[in-house]
Amino acid sequence: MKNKQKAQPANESLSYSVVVRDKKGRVLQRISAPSRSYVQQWNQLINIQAKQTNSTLRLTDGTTFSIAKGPTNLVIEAAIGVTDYGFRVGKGFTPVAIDDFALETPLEEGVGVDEFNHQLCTLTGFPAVVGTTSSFGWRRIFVNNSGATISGIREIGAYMRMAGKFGLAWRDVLLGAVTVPDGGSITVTYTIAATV
Amino acid sequence: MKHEIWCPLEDMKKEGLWYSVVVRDRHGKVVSRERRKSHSFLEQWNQMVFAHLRGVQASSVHDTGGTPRTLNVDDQDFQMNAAANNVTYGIVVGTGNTAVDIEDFKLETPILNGVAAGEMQHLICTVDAAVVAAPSCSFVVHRTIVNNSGGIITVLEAGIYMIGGTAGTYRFDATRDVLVAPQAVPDGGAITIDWTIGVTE
Repeated sequence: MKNKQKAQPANESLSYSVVVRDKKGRVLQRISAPSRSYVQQWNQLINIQAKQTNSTLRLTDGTTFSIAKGPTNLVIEAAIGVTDYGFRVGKGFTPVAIDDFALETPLEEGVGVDEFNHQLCTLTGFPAVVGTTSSFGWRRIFVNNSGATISGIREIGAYMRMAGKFGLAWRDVLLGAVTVPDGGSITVTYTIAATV
Repeated sequence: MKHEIWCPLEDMKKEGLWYSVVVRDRHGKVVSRERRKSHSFLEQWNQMVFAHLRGVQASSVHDTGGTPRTLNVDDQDFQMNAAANNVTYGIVVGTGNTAVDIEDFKLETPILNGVAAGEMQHLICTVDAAVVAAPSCSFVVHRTIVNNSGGIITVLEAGIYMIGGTAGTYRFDATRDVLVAPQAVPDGGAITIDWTIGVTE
């Protein structure tokens, strides 16, 4: 007896929303979509924890390093102004690849040209079960105090801590470019869910 | 008759969680196989991921005894590579067949380690290194569980228990699946379970 079953949707999912506001807080644009963009460092870090031995992972600067198990592995909760980890936005639009190790063209912290003030990267709520799903969200607001419009934002993602180093956890390329006026902001929210 | 529920290998390259079950008789002959998509990351998995994204803790995470625990992040979180005869973590099997619920915190009727009636001997649970094969990155958790009980044992459910909390104090159920077909393991035979955890770009 042989019974071939078709693949079913994954039960661990990631989705995102992007909201752009002007200096008065008015919403100019909303985007939401499923993310399909965990990259290799995420699973490699879970693997290090599961097997409890080091592996060599690629860092956000492109170099490699032997990463050990640790209590701060996977951390994305970043303080104001911190860009080593936490959510990032950028201008790259090359499609996501499993071996991506950073955003293609990440925008830096500051008030210069094409720079954002990175706010706290923080949870939107504790894990909660609704029906057959357990989910929680994480959010970061990027404020444009550069004195000019920042246009051409095409990529978002998360950098995470890896035993004192930093790695790319996931990356998404937006379907279209996003523009943030001077004084405005872009809010990126990711929701992580498990469904049976 | 050999029983097979076999998902194409190319589908296993897609993201998510997969398992395969192979049952052999005492001579090593395969008598049954099942390979399919798992639907069963449970609430505890999501809570442990949450705790690590914060780098602090998660509250009210039910351990495999059903007690809500505060999960303070620790070196050993997510550990699955259990030693032989240790059924407190690693891949475990059972005889329950109640449908999976997101709030399940253990197998319904886990099989104990041993050679008495209804017991099985759990060999080492190994975790392979992660392998990148574009567009995916995955790793496999393996365990073979031997039936030396003197009778047939029918396995209906399987899961992965993991270590979590300060100094590795607690055990949490990360996944649970009810098998599509009951897997009857003959005396002297064994059941091997390979669980693949993967992500795809």
